[in-house]
Amino acid sequence: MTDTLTDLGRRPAAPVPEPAVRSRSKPGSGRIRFASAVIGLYVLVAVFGPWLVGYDPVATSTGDRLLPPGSRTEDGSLAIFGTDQVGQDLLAQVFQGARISIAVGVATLLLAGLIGVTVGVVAGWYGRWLDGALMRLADVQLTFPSILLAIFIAALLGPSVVNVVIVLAISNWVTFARVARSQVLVTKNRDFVDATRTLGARSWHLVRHCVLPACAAPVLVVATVEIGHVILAEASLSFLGLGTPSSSPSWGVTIANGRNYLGDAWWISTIPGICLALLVVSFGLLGDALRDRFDPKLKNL
Amino acid sequence: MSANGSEPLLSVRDLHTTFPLRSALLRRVTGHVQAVAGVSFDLRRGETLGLVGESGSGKSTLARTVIGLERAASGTVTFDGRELTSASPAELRAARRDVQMIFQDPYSSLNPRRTAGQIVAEAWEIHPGVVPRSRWRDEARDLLARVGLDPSHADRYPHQFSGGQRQRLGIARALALRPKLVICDEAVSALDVSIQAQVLNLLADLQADLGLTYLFIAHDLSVVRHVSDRVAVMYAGRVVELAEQEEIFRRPTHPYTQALLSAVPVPRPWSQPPRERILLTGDVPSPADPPSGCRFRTRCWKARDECAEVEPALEPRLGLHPSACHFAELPAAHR
Amino acid sequence: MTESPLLSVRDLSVRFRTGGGHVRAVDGVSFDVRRGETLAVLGESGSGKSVTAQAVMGILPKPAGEIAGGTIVYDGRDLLAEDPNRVRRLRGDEIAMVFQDPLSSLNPVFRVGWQIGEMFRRHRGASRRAARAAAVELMERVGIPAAARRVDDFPHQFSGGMRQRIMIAMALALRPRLLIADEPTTALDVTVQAQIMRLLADLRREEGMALVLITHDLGVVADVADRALLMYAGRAVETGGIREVYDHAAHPYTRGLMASIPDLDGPRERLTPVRGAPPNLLALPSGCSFHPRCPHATDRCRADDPVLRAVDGRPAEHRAACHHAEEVVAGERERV
Repeated sequence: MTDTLTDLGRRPAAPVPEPAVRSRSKPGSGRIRFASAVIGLYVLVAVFGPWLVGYDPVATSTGDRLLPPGSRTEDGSLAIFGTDQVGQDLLAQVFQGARISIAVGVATLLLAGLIGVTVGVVAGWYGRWLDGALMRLADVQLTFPSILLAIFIAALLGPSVVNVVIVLAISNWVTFARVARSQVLVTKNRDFVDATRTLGARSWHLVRHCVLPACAAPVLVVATVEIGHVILAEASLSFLGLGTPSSSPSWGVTIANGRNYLGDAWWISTIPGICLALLVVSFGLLGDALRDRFDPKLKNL
Repeated sequence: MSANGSEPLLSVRDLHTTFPLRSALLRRVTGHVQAVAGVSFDLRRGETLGLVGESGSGKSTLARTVIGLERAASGTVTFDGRELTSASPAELRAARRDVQMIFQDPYSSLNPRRTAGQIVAEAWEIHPGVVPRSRWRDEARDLLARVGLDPSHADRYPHQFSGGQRQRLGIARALALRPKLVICDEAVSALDVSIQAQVLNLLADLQADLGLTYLFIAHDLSVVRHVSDRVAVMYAGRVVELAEQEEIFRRPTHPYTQALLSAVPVPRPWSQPPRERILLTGDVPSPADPPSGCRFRTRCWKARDECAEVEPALEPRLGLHPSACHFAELPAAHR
Repeated sequence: MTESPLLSVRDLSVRFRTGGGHVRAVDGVSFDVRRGETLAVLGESGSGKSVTAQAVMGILPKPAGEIAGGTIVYDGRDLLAEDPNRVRRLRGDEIAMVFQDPLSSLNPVFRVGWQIGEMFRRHRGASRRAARAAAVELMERVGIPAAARRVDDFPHQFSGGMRQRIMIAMALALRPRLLIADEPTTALDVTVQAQIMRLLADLRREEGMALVLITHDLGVVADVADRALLMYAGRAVETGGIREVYDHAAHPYTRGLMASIPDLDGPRERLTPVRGAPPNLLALPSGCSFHPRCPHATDRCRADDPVLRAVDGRPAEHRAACHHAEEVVAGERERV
């Protein structure tokens, strides 16, 4: 065993002057830091904001109607973002809206991700007719407009936050399914899967230990890219009156409310609009940067 | 068949493995590729059978069929008295514990998200009862030491090891279930020469210590000669010559074996008697459409009409070892 | 030594930026390629042999890799100092390269005849028809059967060996005076490997060009090379006539490599490979970077970096970078 033990105690690093050399700072560090900071701020506001600035959906104060940003209300408090047409503080609404938007976004992605990854893994792993059937289902789903689906469900079940999540999850699982499936197809033919198979592993072990871990990074990247779309979609649905009920003032609802006052009180629609845009853009930035870092192959999603 | 009278560890009979060929557009099956086309051989306990051939010869598919990664179209694989091609999945899983494989590519054959210790212990996770969970850590460290890795590196991930070390890790994984047969599928081909020699020595030590039987697949004939007791030469899905190592290298009777041997680069050609170089023309025929009769005839300088009509059987010729050529003869130097 | 060499590389250093810092992939390498000769550049992965070729061809991966020092003089012209545009034309016209993987070096969406012909259209301004005719001629020249019929096939319709022949045809199109082949046969089967080596040797003789063969396989080049240059961890460790180097290796690494190759004849003995693994280029050992693996290593080796030098009792051309080269050569005499 003399010469077989010679690797002992050696540095593990391979001699790597290969052309594939990473540059010193990882790609997208700046973008990731900026976007994460913005998103973190939103999350803080969503969690603690409504607790700091109370919001009562039925309170009205006619004397405080349509106050511009920075005004004093009748009870002497400062309305930083102004008030709306029934005299409610816009800041409180925006804070409440952040909570709803982020909650809807996260819940939708969890549901869509669960459905999508399950479908994708099953389709990719078992292949053949099951793959064909599931992927055709996905194609059908893509051709069905989500607005139509939303009208359908809203008409059937009435508008509620849960229904919005269901509608959005149904319209978004396909992306997850496709990404998971392609990752499974790449992974399942890798040597290490065969190696585990020769140990006697069953499908469940292979999926759990070899395939799912390989899906994690791309699915997270897709989730980050998608959450912006989902939040925007929720706002659109709410704007159209198909989303969250007016008792829970998501940004879409508030923007819709301010529509008739654009001439007199621009701030009612504009401020939640800006909040929405900033959040969506941040998620987009973060998603792009994460994709560049972890999985450049996903470029055209 | 087995010379020493004891039952062979592995017995392969008339094995065929085919892959469907599908059209690009409608995915209809338009034909079949015969990757392994009627292969028979025995593997004796404790021996090393070298399997050589060029790409497309079907040697890797043969190995993958034996271990159950591909499904045999027909024929039988009998391991340690158990017939595997008709075995139930549960029986197969049990048998697989005794047959393990070392893969060619030390980069892709290790799960990048598991540590060295976890990779070795995975087998015990799959087969509960082989090693109790409480012993996993110690046993894994023992195995790492056994293959010449530092046991304190058990918590490192594959990318933190060099190529040679990764291959040792692959060997440790294959040994975790204490197999009887280890299939080495081009196990040293991707390694640098100096590392390759270290791993060859390790494999020899393990065989001596653990009584392993090896099916050693490689395209490098020098390596095969170094490790093998017997050698089977494959061409286009069939075994064309099978003999003791000494016989194959000194007295090859099949023209393909002769051509293959003459093409092997020798480090110091000037220090040896001049060799007859047989330069084959053309390429290995497409396995989807193999030539009639002898599959080597399209590149063979001895081919006659008979070769296109009758497929030569793998049988002893010239009073020597089995060779699948109608016109088997010793190389010029021996005549 | 009267004639000036065709290619003269002096003290070449190539630096790579990696996640862990700067790495000297090539460190002070000097060698000559004489007109019409075949030089084998040998080494394991990470030795810097391919990077050296990339530096000569001006195809170092940018921006990670850069030439950190030295000169590359081709036919009296310093390639690193001259106008980049003229150098680029020179590299197309007079210096050509063949790569290891012919499939990824060929464009899959163009017919092979078109790709070979492009050399004539681009560099010589040939018409389409003339370029096509020249392509067929070249394909015949490199031994592709039925060239006239196959000129319009796509790369995937050829076998690995035939693709490598196509690559060689493209490299030969402009009749280069120097052909660099980087692991030209590594991806090929043994019988095809032999065909390609024979083809390269024949073409070299017919064209009178110089050939640089880069490989990890000491056996493949033994038949065709005139001289050998061994590299280890970015350094040239031994150079000389191929028989000198192979038969009387003066560097322990060369010796270890030779001992690592299983024999095709002779008794089957246990191999005596080089101990350990190639060093991490980010943390090279002090002194001679081979010393941790070397059976001859002394304190001097751990402190002083040996330079390539003539070895006592050997022809002047045979040089090794080892403090104990004489011992190494003598050791061989004892053994044989």
